[in-house]
Amino acid sequence: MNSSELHKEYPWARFHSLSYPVRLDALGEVLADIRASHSHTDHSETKPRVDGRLVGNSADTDLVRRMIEQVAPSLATVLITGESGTGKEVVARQIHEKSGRKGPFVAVNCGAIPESLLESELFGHERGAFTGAVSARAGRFEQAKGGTFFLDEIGDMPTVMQVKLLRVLEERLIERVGSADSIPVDVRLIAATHRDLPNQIEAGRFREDLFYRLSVFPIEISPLRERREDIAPLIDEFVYRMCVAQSVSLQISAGAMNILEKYSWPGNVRELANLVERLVVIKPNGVVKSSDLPWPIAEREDAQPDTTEVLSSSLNPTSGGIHVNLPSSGLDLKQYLAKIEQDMIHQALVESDGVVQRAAELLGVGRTTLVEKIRRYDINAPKKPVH
Amino acid sequence: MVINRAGTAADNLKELIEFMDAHDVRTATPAKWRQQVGDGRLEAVFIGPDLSDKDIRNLVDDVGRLDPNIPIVMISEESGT
Repeated sequence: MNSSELHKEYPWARFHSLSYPVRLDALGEVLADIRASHSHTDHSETKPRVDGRLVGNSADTDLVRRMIEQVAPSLATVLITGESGTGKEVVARQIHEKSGRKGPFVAVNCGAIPESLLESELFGHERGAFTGAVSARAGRFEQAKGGTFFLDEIGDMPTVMQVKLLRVLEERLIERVGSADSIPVDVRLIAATHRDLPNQIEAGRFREDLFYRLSVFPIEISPLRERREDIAPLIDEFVYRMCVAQSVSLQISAGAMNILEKYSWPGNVRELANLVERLVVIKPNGVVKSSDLPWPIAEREDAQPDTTEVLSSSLNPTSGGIHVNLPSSGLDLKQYLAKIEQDMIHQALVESDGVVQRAAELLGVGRTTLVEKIRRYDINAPKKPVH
Repeated sequence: MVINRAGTAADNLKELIEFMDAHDVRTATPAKWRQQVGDGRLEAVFIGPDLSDKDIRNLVDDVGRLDPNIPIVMISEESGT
């Protein structure tokens, strides 16, 4: 399969080609092209993860906005949880921007750095600390001086490093690898993970003391499928942003929007942004119809029932669903709905013999979301039966 | 990231790319690359010379799903186009 065939088959892809064995000058040209394209593509223009604001009208997104406002001016350590692609880094950056801290925002993905290099990456090293340490180097903690240090995928941090991080959080001092001197660090720490940390603690993969140190102010970001009101505004925002960036005009038909709003978005906002970007490339200056949507989205629309319709029909009084006699003095709708939620969670826990994962599946929510709701409502889970 | 079936060619490519001052170059097989990337970010994907057409199509599809902006460098035995 040669490059021109690939170009025809994948018009959206950014292909380069090299012949094997690879010549250094040809490789140099390709790498220069790639670097140039990265510098032209300012990711803040197109990627939700580095965009400066949260888009969406859902109650969940409003709550996250309020929490950001509350926590930003303080020095409290924040733990952001949520599935991959929900925008944890966007929230972290917002907290930094609203904090008034003058230093930089420094981000490290704990899952992307090999275990052997992580300590040196975080804390720096002295010259000769290990083979290859030809000069002393400041770590990311030091680089974030006066600013915010964002530790992404903290759930993937090796346990040995967890102990060292805990010490930094307690003493606000770091030691470079190969040095016994302690360096004070003025850093605000924000951590994030897509993992269920209480579960990781149970499994012995995450330290409980570190968890409590980190979750001084926890923020949970719901998956996109649990805040469907955000889908249309997000699509509009990305379409607008990408059309401006690429000088094209793209429209999404009502039918296509309907399908997109029903799709489950397992990759969350990142998947949505990538889809819009792909549509802009495939249909510049056109209208995206439902038939233009790629396979997984169109396919799932046919395969899955529209839960919104199912729910609304079962709640419709004419179909024999829930009937509420409103008291003449009125009622507190929020409180009333919270009570229904509590009852449903309790019922799901009873039916699942206290297995939270199963209860979460019965309710169609993520395990982390359910754990948070159980904690918030202080629901006592029934004990698992002993066989 | 360099994706290839045979380790030697991938390792040679990794060395060359690192020689050109690119950092954190990783190698992987078509079956494992996604798992290796996790939630990390890719600057570019180099597709080695010994992959089948089916592997290549699957890879390009997956890279597009991850981020259509990621440059894909095709390395083939014939001269580059």
